[in-house]
Amino acid sequence: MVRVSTAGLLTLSGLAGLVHTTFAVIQYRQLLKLSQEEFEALPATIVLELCISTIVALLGAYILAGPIKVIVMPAKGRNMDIGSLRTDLVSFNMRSRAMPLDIPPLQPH
Amino acid sequence: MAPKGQEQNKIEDLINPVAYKSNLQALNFLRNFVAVVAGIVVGICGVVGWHGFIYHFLAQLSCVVAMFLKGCTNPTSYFATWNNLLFFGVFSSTTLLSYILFWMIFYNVCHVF
Repeated sequence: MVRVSTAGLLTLSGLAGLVHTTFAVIQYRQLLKLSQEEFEALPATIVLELCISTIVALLGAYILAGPIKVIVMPAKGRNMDIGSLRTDLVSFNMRSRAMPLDIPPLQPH
Repeated sequence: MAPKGQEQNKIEDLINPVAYKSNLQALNFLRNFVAVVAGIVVGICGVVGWHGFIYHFLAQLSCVVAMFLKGCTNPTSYFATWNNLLFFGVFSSTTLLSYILFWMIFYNVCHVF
């Protein structure tokens, strides 16, 4: 079973509303062509539907984006875990650990 | 004994790179989505011409407002610099081209074909 969050539902609803608005505009323009009138502006109902769909879609995206966090770690209250965040002090696992320390230097033949 | 000049220097605050990356990802996602929705709206409304890009930049500015609503009271504590909050991803190809693509598609579907 697919679980959809509230934010996802809001976003999908907003996008569906925008698609429905598109079809409404297409039908309105076809009606104008049949009555041989020029297109001047969209009717108020379509504009209202467009606004509501946009607001709902943007609200869903706002929630989907997630929270933001403080990036500054003050001097007080630091713990030892921050050592892994200092890229200057990151250690890499490499074969040098397996090499003995007392390797004699190569002698020229 | 340390010289007096060194005693006056403050220890710089560390920046958490995981939180920084997460914040920028949230901003990037919002910017891309807003660009798509703005392109759709502008295309449905039938906007033509270069002034259509004004709506794109207005929509990107709304992302800054959204970040303030999310609790970003001090941008330097969440995005390191004001430039990051104002301009990160605004002029990227993904955002701009997405806006143009959806603007073109929905204008053509509604008003041309």
